[in-house]
Amino acid sequence: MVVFVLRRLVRIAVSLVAVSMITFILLELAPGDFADISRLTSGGSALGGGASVETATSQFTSRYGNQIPPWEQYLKFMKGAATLDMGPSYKYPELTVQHIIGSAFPISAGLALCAVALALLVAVPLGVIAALKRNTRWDYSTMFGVTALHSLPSYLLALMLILLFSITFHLFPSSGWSGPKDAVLPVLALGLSSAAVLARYVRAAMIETLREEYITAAYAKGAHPRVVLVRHALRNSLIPLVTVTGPLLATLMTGTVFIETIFQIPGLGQYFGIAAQARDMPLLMGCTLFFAAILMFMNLLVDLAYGLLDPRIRFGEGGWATWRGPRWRRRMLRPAIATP
Amino acid sequence: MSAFTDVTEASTTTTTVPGDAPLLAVRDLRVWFDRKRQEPLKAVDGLSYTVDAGRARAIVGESGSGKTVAARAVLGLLPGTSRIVDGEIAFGGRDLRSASPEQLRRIRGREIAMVFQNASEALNPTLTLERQLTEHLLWHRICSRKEAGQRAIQALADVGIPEPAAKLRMYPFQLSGGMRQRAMLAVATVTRPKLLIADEPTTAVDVTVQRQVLDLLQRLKDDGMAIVMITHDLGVARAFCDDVTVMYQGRQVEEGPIRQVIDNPRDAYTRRLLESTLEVGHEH
Amino acid sequence: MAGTEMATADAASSDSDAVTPESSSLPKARSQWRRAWEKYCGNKLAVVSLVICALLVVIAIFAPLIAPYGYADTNYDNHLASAFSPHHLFGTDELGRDILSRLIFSTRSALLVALASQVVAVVLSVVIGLIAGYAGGLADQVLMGITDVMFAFPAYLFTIILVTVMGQSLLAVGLAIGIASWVTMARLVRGQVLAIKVKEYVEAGRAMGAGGTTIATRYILPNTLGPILVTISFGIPAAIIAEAGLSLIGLGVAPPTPSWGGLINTGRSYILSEPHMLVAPMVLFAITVLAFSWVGDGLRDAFDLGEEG
Repeated sequence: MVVFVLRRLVRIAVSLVAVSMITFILLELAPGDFADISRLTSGGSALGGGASVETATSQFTSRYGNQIPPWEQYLKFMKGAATLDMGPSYKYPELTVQHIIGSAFPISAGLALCAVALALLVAVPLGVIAALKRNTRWDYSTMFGVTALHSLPSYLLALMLILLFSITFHLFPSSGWSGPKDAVLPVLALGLSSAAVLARYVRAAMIETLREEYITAAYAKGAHPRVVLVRHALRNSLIPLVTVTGPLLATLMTGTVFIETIFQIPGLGQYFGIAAQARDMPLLMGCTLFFAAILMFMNLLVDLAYGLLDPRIRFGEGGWATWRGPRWRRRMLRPAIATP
Repeated sequence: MSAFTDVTEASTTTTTVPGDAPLLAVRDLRVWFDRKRQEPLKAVDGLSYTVDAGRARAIVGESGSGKTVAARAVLGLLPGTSRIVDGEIAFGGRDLRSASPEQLRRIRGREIAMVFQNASEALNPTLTLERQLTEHLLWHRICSRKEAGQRAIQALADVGIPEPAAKLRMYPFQLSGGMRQRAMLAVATVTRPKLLIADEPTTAVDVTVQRQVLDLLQRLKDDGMAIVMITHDLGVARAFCDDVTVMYQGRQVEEGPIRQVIDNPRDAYTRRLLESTLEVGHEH
Repeated sequence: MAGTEMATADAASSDSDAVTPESSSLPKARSQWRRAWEKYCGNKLAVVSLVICALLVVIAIFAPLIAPYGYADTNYDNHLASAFSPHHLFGTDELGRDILSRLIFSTRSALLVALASQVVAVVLSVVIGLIAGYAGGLADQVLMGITDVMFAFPAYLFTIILVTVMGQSLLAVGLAIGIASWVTMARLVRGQVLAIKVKEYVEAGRAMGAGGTTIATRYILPNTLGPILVTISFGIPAAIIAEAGLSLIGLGVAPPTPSWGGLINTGRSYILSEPHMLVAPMVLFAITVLAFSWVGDGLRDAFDLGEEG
């Protein structure tokens, strides 16, 4: 297992370097300098504290000044990334990139966690029941709704929820981040959207498991249907669910840009969106690297978890060496264009 | 031998009649599969046979003959699209067709057990052998948890698996193919059922394991267990079974003591079957 | 994305059309397509969705003729008119522009962006997928390494960065989305290539002297068209969704060119006073995305492709 983890860490490192290089090159190509230092003004961020604009300017000049060649700018940034000192953000010069990431990410992560929890709570029962009632009218209509929900982006769902619960019924605020009430609609939007993805998966996994011979064998031994369901079927179909939930969580954590913008939530997603608009290169680079790292570490965690849960990996002949990730994981791992 | 826990059902038609009455009596069984926009498929169309305690019956046929459906119908393990439209299934004098789901559940695994063709698929890959050997002992409240563990070890030993106590903690994939097959047999017999239905028990294994499985089945038969063996291999049937029923496309084409059927087949299909399977000399 | 798990996978492409390769590539393709078409037509939802999509395309093409006003015709005197007011079925926006017209023109923008993105994606992925699958070896490894890196970018990140680089014209946004999405399609193409490469009729073709490019174009390409078609019909709503998302953070197609994302974004600001400014584009957006998705579902079932397609 140690070998497995080490090999994966190497791959992660290489990928991160590649990602950083691609991002840097792209940002260099963008109109404007990597850091237009002369345009530095106070950013007015909600996150308090930090240095003054002057300190920031001098920091910037030393790192990304006009006279420094691009490859050196890149190396300085990478060194900063490795040492967790990525310098000040361009849009919010009083704050450093790592400070922004550190303060804003927990919000995004919290949002994502709640959303995934909600999604599981909704999707697992839904999927299981749909599998048990497969090909009945209940199944068709529910899955139809699920598929429709799955096709629509979460931000559209968010807007619909706002229209319904904020504007029409005045139940929840449509923006802001001051209390738990503010979290309800965003979590609902993200959660229901994710639930649609998970429900279809749970249903498919359940149906496949119920077809297995050992289910018939369990019945043949005189098992009560509920026992068969929980002990044999559910167990075996939920283990692979881990491989789908993990990447989903990672995708949510790194993909809340739109939801956070709509609801004005000061998470890392919103900062990323603002950074893109403002051409805040250091923050963009920092966020990209951070998000990519989160995604990859999450996948590693998922693989480890699955390995621990599936006895074939833990005790099997080839063990961890044979473990290259189930094919379902690939589906959740979508590139830049995917619907979060 | 160990005592069976006696089963007295609340709504039995008759109590178990010892002696002359067969243990399992199937009469005129018809099982149909519903199909969309078509006539139903008559998977089993008029099958009748009996099995006595301590005897083995082979149900022989090619794939599609309906033999597996016939076997599963006894335990009520048919898929959703099928239904038993006619016939009687009497086990120990009790009518299984009209049994409630709960009554049927209590018979399964306890009085009638089943082993399947592929042990790798019939055993749950994520549960230890111990769990799979003891769970139905506990479901049927046959013994205490501790005693169940002992019986599990004994069952493994009975099927000839070395170091049974150590094997309990293992998962199916950690055993060799032959051991898995025998473990599956142990799972079925740990409750000392009266009837064992074996669905192609020798098909998916190699010849040495085949021999072991047949020996085990023989021992069970000697101990008084009734066995119904589904197989397409007449050679295996001849080596082990007392009576045989030949099926073709859902219908029963021939029936009788095995020696008689093989030496004097009455049906043309039986004859062709004999020619093709016994050609290569399945002398056991 | 299909919920119709009941679609039985009959052996679509593996039946024994044991004709000689020379004649098999064309007739085989036709019969395959005919079969797929028939299967597609059996799916009512897919057919209805296809009609809707066709309608949308018509609207997009004939936008200037259909729309009552131009999309940039401002009229400050009548701004923020509510829905069903005289002359303006859906009211006007903050600059007095007719919302209905802007909706119609935004259909055009959306489909143009989607088209641009899919063209880019298809070209890129077919070329790369073919090379990777057919040539194999080092080229394959390198290209798959690139796709792995692309997978490391979280959703939308790459698109956002590309738009930052390429600007916000219709074309730029389309290109950005396309470049960000070629990866899945490329893998698909490569998978198909690998699967077909080993089939017998390719061997037979080679034995008859067909060269590499011939094999690639006559045998392999026609068989990848099915999955590519499916990916495109899912790619269109994905592109529309991406563009709208970009608009939400201000990186979508630049004004005054109307786009659904832009309309939704503006509508957001007036959500309390003029909700129709938000509802109208949202509904149209939802219908479009759903229609194309269902077409994709139908196509996937028609070609028996399962979830991977």
